Parts: sequence; structure tokens; C-alpha cells
Amino acid sequence: MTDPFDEYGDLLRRALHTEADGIMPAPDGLDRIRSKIEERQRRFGWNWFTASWVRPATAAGIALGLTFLAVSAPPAIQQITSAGDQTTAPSRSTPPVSEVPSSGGSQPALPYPGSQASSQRPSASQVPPSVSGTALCRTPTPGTSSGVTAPTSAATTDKKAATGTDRPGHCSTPTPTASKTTTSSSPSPSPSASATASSSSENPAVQAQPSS
Amino acid sequence: MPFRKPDDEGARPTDVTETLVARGTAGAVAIAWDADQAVTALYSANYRSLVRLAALLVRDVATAEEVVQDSFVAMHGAWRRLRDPDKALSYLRQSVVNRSRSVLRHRAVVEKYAPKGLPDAQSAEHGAIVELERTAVVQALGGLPTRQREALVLRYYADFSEAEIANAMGISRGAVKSHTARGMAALRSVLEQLS
Repeated sequence: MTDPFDEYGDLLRRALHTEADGIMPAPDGLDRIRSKIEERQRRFGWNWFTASWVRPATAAGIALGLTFLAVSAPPAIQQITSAGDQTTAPSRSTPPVSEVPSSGGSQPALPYPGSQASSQRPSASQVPPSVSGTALCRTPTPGTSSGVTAPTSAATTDKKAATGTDRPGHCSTPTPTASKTTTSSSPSPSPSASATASSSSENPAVQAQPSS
Repeated sequence: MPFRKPDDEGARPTDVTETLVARGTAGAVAIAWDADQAVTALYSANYRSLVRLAALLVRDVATAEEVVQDSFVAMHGAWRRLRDPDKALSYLRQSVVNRSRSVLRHRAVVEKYAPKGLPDAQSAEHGAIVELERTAVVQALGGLPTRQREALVLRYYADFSEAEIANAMGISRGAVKSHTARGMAALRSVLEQLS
């Protein structure tokens, strides 16, 4: 150290040593240190861990934790498993709905024996607003009348079940039906409601057919 | 766990002076101690000097003893990491300085919110000291900032080198020079009157 202060350094050193020599620590310092060490070991050391109440408390805590795990783990696993199924659910859930149109496609579900009935059906399919889910598919049928809805709703539902259009918002399949309607309904410009009503009244089997 | 004393053969001689301890002669001591033996041996060699050093820093003997005892307890807990008397002594010095600093910081907070009569009682205690020089220097030293007081005490009482002061205070050697110079400049007026 350099020494602009060494002229006062001796004075300071002498004063500090004189002051420090007057300090006499208590003789029981080592005993205090030992007691503090033992207290610390008792509080935080192995002796604390092996105290009489710590081990039963630890065992009880571990048992409680294992019980909680045993109770809560199976539902959690089920939830995780079901969540995994839901991610693949759309491919599985749709087939039952699509099975109906496929079976209806192989076996014509149209209850009407003649082609007249088939010519009436387009008029029935022209009334989608009454059936839920077909409201968006109204565009291909310009000649829709609201009065037709009531008598032919059963036939409409049946046709939709056959074509698989009863799913809400599904507009792909109604389009060919609408094209059928336009082609078949063009020869008979008369209102389809009256035609449907007359045909259903003339042929009682037509009424029995949907119910069966 | 029983507290064992060191063997009589390995016990340190009792005539080791504090100056030797302050200069780090613990390296001459046998190393194969466990924590309890290290505490006992280092206590017999260093306790008094460390208490005096702490007393000069905190200006209170009882508090200084507590500081040093806590440092020994901490050293006992850290002995597995230290395992070397030189490191242990350095650890003790650092611990004493840091704990003294903490005591002064706590005391400053307490005195800040204490009634105004408390500092007067302390100065009356100091006024009981007979010698004028010592009283004046100690009072002037007590008015210094903590770092400056630490640097001056470690240099002029413990006779530490700059490196040892830097190690004990946890600062650089340049900072040690700076604190020492500023502390001596602050004490200059008092020392000029005494010289």
C-alpha cells in the first residue's frame, strides 16, 4: 500500500490495537458454539429426521399421497383415453349415418310403386325448409311452395333418409335430387301439393307404406 | 451426535499469537480434522482475534461474540466443502466481515426507527473510555461508512494485505485502495489534531 497516509497509519494502528486489547471475549464461547451446532443439527439434521414424531408423520404423508394417486389415476387415464378417441371420432361416428343411405341405395326405399310417385317426390323434395338441416339446400328448387310441406313431410323425410340428406348442413346429396325434381316436374307444371294429396288419397297403400 | 475434541497430540499450541493467526498460519495445522475438531482447533487459535476484529467493526463486544460464534457454526456446516484450515480461516474472516456488515445494516434500520435517546446512551458508554486518543479515533472510525471502516480495520488492526482485504470484503483490490484512501482522508482531521 502506498503511503500518503502512513504518517497517520501508526497513530491509527496504535489506537486500534489499544482499543482491541481492551476487548476480552467471554470464556464460554466454545460451549456456546457447540450448543448452537447441536441445536442446528437437532433442528435440521438427521436427529431431527429421526425424531419420534417425524417418521410416523412421514409415513402417513406417503400413504396419503399413494391413496390419492390410486384414487385419481384411473379416471385421469380414462379421460386421456377418451380424449384420444374423440380425436378420431368423426371417422367412426359418421358411418352409422351413412350406412342408412347406402342400404337405401341398394334397396330403393321409395314406397311408391309407379313412376308417378317418383314424379311426385321431387315436388316433395322441393320443400326442404320444414325439415331441419335442409334449409341451406333450398337454392336448386325455385318453385317451392309452403303449402306443400304438411302432406309430404313423411315422404320427404323418407327420401332424405334414403339419400342421406338428413344431416344438417349437408348440401352435397340434395343437389342430384333437385336436378331430378326439375326434370320430372317439368312435364307436370301443376302444383305438386295437389298431386301429392290426390295420389295419397287414391292409393291407401301409399299411406301405409311410409309407416311400414 | 457427540461433539468430539481434537486429540491431545494434534492440539494446537496455545501460545500462537493473534498476529500469526491473522496472517494465516493455519496451514501448519494438521489437516485430518473432522468438523468438530476443526471448530475446536480454530476456536483456540482464532476466536479472540476474530472477536476483536468484529468488535472494531460493530462497536459492541456482545454482538461481536455472537457474530463470531455464528461464523464458527457456519464453518462447521460447511466443513465438508472446506476441508482445509487455510480455507476455513479465510471462510471465517469473510463470514465475520459479512455478518458484521449485516449487523450494522440491521442496526442502522433499528436506530432509524428508534427513539432519539438511544445514540446518546452509546456515546456516553464510549465517553467512559479514559484515553483521549483512542476515544477520538474510535469515534471517528465509527462515523465512517461501513466499507471504509472495514478496510481501515482490516489493514491497520489485522495487518492484512490488499489481497487479503479484498478477499475478506469480497471486493477488488482497486476498491480496497479507494475505500482505504477515502477513509483515511475522512479521519485526517481527527488524526491531525492528535498528532
